Amino acid sequence: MRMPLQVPQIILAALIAAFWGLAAASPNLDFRQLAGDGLLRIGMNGIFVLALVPPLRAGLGINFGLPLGFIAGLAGVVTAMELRQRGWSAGGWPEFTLAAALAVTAGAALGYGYARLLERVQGQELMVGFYVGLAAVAAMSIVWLIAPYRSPELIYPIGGQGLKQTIPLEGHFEKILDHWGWTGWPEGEPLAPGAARAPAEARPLVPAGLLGCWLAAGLALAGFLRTRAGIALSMAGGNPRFAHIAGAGVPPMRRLAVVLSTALAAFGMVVFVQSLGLVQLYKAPLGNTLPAVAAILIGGATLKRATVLQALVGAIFFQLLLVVSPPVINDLVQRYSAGRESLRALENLPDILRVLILNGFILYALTRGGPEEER
Amino acid sequence: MSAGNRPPFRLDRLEPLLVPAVVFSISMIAFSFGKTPFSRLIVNLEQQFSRNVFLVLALIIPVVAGLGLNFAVVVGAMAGQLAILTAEDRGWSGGSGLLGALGLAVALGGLAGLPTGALLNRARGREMICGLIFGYFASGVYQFLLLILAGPVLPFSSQRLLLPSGVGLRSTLDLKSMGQAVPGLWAYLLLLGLAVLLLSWLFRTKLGQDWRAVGLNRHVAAVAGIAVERTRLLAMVFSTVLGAAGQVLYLQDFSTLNTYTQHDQVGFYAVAALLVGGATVQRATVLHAVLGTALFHLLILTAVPAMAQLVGNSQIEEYCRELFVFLIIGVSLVVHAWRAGRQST
Repeated sequence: MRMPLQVPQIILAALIAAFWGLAAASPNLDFRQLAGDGLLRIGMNGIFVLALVPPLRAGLGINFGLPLGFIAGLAGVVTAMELRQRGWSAGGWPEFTLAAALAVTAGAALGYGYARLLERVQGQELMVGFYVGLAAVAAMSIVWLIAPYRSPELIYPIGGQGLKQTIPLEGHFEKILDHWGWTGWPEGEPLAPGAARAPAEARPLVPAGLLGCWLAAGLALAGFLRTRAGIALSMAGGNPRFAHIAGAGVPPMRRLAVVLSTALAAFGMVVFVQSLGLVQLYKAPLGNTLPAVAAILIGGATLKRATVLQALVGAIFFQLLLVVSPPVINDLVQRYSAGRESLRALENLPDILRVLILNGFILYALTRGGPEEER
Repeated sequence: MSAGNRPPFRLDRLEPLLVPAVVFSISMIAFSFGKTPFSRLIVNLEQQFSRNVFLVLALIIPVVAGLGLNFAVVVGAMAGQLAILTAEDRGWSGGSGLLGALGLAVALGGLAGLPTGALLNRARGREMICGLIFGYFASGVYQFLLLILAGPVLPFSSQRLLLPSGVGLRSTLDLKSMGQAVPGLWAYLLLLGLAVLLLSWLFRTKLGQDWRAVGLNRHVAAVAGIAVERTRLLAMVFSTVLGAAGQVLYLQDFSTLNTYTQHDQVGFYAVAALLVGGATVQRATVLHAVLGTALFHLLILTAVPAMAQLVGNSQIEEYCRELFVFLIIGVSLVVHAWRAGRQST
């Protein structure tokens, strides 16, 4: 696999290296903890990035409709939690499996409908996908408010109806993947130098189960792309006419790509939620789409070409930047502002930087794909 | 909504009236179920209309010039916010203050429109999604200007605007001196008349004719000797300028500014309003914008409370409003793409 190294990627890599160098050099920052945070964020967001691979390969472009998968994932999680409360499922792994199964099923079903819609709007897939995502989140917000969930830990205390904005996963399957195979900190080792952290926040340095899950998803996707169906899928994007002659139908392959993408996004949301330890409903899922898109583009994907490796590398790069820039910039501000209140404004810089880099990469990709023939 | 956007099979003749008629009917049905008194509805509608119509007018030129729905109008909105913030900082007020703020908005909008147009020229066939993402990108630049440069670099000095540290602006501001600078409905109607005259005149100039030609067929226009890229760039500049002025007019009436988030939804709401008036991705007129603004806000003012009442949960209002907006835009895009696909096969 070729990894085209282009100027934006090189600049970004230099920026990331500089930030991590500063983090290592700073006396106030716990490098180990930061590295652990980085690994955690990579695992949490990695599957979202993988979900973008099939539609890109099948010639549908960036799937801005990822939120459709996210709401399927969230529906899987809250339904599993409700069923557990009603005694239909045990906690822990059975509940996690149930949530994932429900999420993937709902994701695949929604994905199929979405795929049929995209078939009819060729040339406008990006915009239509974007609005499908937005509309789905708004529609689902109404559903969250009126759906017949009854478990008291899920719904607002007054009115007996309406899921809460934020639902803790404690006692369900919180961090079940992150803590997989982990038996706790060795005796006597401080969790973080200087700071006593709450035991609930204690976590392994390397969230092995989470990273394993992400890599397994990546391997499975890469493996699938090497099967007959996977090759036909990529052919539908690379050379539709050739795909047609070779007997691989283009529409079914595109449909498959969208279903896969939406189901993966749904599964990714279950994984994300277990790591976060919180279910965030309503508008929260909208915030996960553009970072995933930026990540795969940072990994070197274009509107016409994407590989699993690019999705993996992109997730690593982007999350490494997001995790390290706020503490490093804040640390620098605190050390060199010498109490000058006015320099505190620079603490907003990481967030601004994130917005600029994220959207900058998307714009870069959108303006470099070459002019698309207008229909 | 779905009925209004059903692809036309035998209704081609009546089609331009279809969407407005359906939206009007839905609104009337919702109104008859709702509990809002008629006089209250009219007052609210008048207020929403006069606030929003100028932002919707700003979207016409890019549609005519073939750039589609201009979601990058948020860039203009941000320029307008910068202008009104400057005016507020200087303590400008009244009619002359408003003229000053509008003048500043025009200048800043023109400045912001140049990179927008240049970028969209590089994204032919993908202008809408590109404009949308550019709005988010510009939001980052705007935050940089107002959170970090305002104070030390940008000359803001009013303690009422600046954070206590002297750097960066407060996130919510009461527009005390710029508030309610337009005295009443007659003044809005006067301004609206001026804006409509300006647009109609623009479309009669050489530039306006070029916009039409480029919008109809870029290749033919190029062969006919029109500088296509420059024409498209100017379309974006004019749209951004109008958007900036529109946001100033909106804010002076609204009187409160959420400094960092006010512009976020401007594009979605304005585009939805234009579409409700019967415009499409490829066709928009002043009438579409004016009618659309009135009908869109009529729909929001009647159907949203009616839905909440139907469901028995007032919390759904916010999501309902968004759902309407996204469905209106989404369905219009689907119909546009569908029709384009049918024509090409």
